[in-house]
Amino acid sequence: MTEPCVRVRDLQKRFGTVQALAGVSFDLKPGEVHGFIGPNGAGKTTAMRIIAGVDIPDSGDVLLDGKSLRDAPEQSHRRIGFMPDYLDSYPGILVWEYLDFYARVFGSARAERNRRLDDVVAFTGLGASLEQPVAGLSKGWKQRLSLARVLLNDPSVLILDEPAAGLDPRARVELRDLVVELARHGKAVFISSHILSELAEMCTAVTIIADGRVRTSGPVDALRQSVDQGRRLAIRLLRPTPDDCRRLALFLSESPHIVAVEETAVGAACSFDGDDDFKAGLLAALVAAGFTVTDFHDAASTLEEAFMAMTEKEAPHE
Amino acid sequence: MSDAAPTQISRARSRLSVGDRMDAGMNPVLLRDLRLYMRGKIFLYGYFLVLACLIVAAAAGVVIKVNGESSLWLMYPTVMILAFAIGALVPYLVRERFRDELSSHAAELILASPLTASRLVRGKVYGAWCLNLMLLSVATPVFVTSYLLGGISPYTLLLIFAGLVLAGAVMPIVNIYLGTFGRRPGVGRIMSALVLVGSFILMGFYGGALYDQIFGLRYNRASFFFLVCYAVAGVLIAQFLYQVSVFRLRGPGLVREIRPRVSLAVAAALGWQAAAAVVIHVKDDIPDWPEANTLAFFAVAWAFAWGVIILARDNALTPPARPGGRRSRFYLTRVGPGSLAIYNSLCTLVIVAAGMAWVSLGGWARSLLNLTAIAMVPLMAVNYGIVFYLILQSRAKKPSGPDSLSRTVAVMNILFAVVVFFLCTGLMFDGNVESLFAAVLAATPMGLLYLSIAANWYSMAFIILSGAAGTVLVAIVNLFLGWRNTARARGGDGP
Repeated sequence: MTEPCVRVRDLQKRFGTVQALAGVSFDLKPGEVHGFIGPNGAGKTTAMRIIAGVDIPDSGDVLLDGKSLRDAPEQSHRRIGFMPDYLDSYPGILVWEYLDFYARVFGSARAERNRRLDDVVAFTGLGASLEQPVAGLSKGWKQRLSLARVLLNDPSVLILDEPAAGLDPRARVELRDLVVELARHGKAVFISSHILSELAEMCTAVTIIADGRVRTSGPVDALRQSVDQGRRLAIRLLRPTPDDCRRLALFLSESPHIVAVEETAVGAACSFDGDDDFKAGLLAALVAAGFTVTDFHDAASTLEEAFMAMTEKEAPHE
Repeated sequence: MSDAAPTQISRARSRLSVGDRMDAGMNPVLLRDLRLYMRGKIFLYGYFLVLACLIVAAAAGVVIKVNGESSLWLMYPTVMILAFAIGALVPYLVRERFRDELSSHAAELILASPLTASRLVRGKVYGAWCLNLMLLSVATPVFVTSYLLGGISPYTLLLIFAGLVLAGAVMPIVNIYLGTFGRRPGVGRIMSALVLVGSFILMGFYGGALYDQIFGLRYNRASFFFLVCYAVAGVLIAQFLYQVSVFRLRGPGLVREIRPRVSLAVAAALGWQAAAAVVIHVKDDIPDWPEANTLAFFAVAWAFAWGVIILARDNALTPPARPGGRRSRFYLTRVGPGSLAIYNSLCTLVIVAAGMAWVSLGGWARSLLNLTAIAMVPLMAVNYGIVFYLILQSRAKKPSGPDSLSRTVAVMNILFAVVVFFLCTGLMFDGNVESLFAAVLAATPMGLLYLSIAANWYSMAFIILSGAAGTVLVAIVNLFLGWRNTARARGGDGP
């Protein structure tokens, strides 16, 4: 089992009268794409900035390979790459000048710096736009440039704050591929996004935060199972009518081991606490009862459903 | 994703020589700011700031009479304006940029890196120092001219120069420090305004030191109005007319769509200018040449310069295709405001050195005055047209124009130098023709250098040293910035 490279312990941060973080704790592991989900104002950006070393917590700590970042913040500067939801830019600066500046900031020797520049430019596909002014780049290319900046010092931990915001579908797919590739290279990727469907496709773990507190944190599958009341089944009928769906839902509700039933537009979904033998028997019973079943499969909760379930009792954040 | 092919950066870096060796330890913030300054408008404004010095100098020469003669206090207004620029304007600009960096969270990303806060601030300070030094380089001809004209010792000149360097070193530090006060930019601005008062104290100090310095350059009202037309009005109107649709051309290469009225205006300007030049040349012995004609002449010459803007802009909008697609990007020859200002300063110093050598050969070269004078005005007008174009180009989103315009600037300066070289010999100030030429020459710092006949070998040595210092300064700047040859971007699905 892989040990966490980053341990966030009981972070607290207050801005005036607003308690942005009220004790946030979670772990990040190498090779993991860890999603950070929460409603607006939940404290995601604050937590990310603290981990990246941009902000200082009021209390709590971040341990990087067991070493406290509060005691030695310079560790985060070399090991952690932070990609905020904005791109800092300077009037008239060109793409290559921007990258060259940050490459020099990390202070590596010239040969190593050039090698990293070449690798990063090739990885992010920025070769054709090196002579372009940064201000003239589209949103998607600015995100690429921001990612390239983050990768210049080859960090072991990447913190990406809403990297897909404002991107077109193609750019989002390409960014997702980049993120997955980075994790495959052994980096711990900590990413926040409001597009939960995309996070679900690439995240292996998630942390859900609301009102400055962590609601849950762990592997995605475990999260879904904790939301699901047992296993779930999705049943689809052939040319269903509302009466058919109603009859199906009633039939399921009267069946043993069925915990919950939900009528859908094409049939029904249910949670059950049985095994595969039960599933087989249920299918046979449905067919014997005259239901024309066209689809009968396990259906785990989506990340959206899990998120909504975790945060449904929270009051709207001002 | 694209293949991991070698990029322009690695190939370019492999060609660096001295710059590579100086790479280690270079402050990245300084390097970044220098690159941005070199492409910015500050040098262009500095260039015209020097011209503003000349306007004020001419006005002082017209208005103020000392010992019964109109005298030009060249250094006095120059130092005043430079002290304002270096002691207040530049530090203010640097401070504003620093504040923008802080307020836009750009500095956060830097501070989240191994770069320390002290190194960040030092880089901003060093950048401001370099900016001030480069502005002073634009004004170097004024210092050289002052020495040539006599009446001020080299020691005093060096003292003035050193004082400006010192002011340029201290003021940015103060302003950057003030820029860190509070989140509201108004706080820093108020503090900077208070510091501005101090800069006026500096100007007063230097002004007082030069109170009794008298220079031999004489101006008349014609030259004064000429300077006003070209240096100030041209800039303002060029900015205004840039918005007029008739001046927007489509298509690359040759001018294809100049509206008839614009063509007529340009033709009229050219015709009037040529006629006026011939008339002036022929009638140089007429003592009562109306000043209104002179005024109109130079106003039309400005219109000619504006016509050049159209041509230059049209030529620069679409870079001509070149086999092989290689394009050099050297900060000195690239058409940027900073390069133009520094280039002019270097040309000035080199030309003066050559001119001083010719002066010592006697007055035979004066016979070439008549032949070169007619070409003098349009060449100078084209030079200004290109400068005006740079102002317009600096408003565009994309970087400056292609090498063709760089070559144009270089060729124009060389031609200008050749013409002015022949004019340097024995130029007198009393006759109408000479006054006219003096007025023309006064429109550029390069021309001022030829207005004195008090040349000697000692002066030339001073000029050569100044030129060498300026050359070294520019070389150092370019080494820091790094020069590289880049392959033309070949298609690709760029942004």
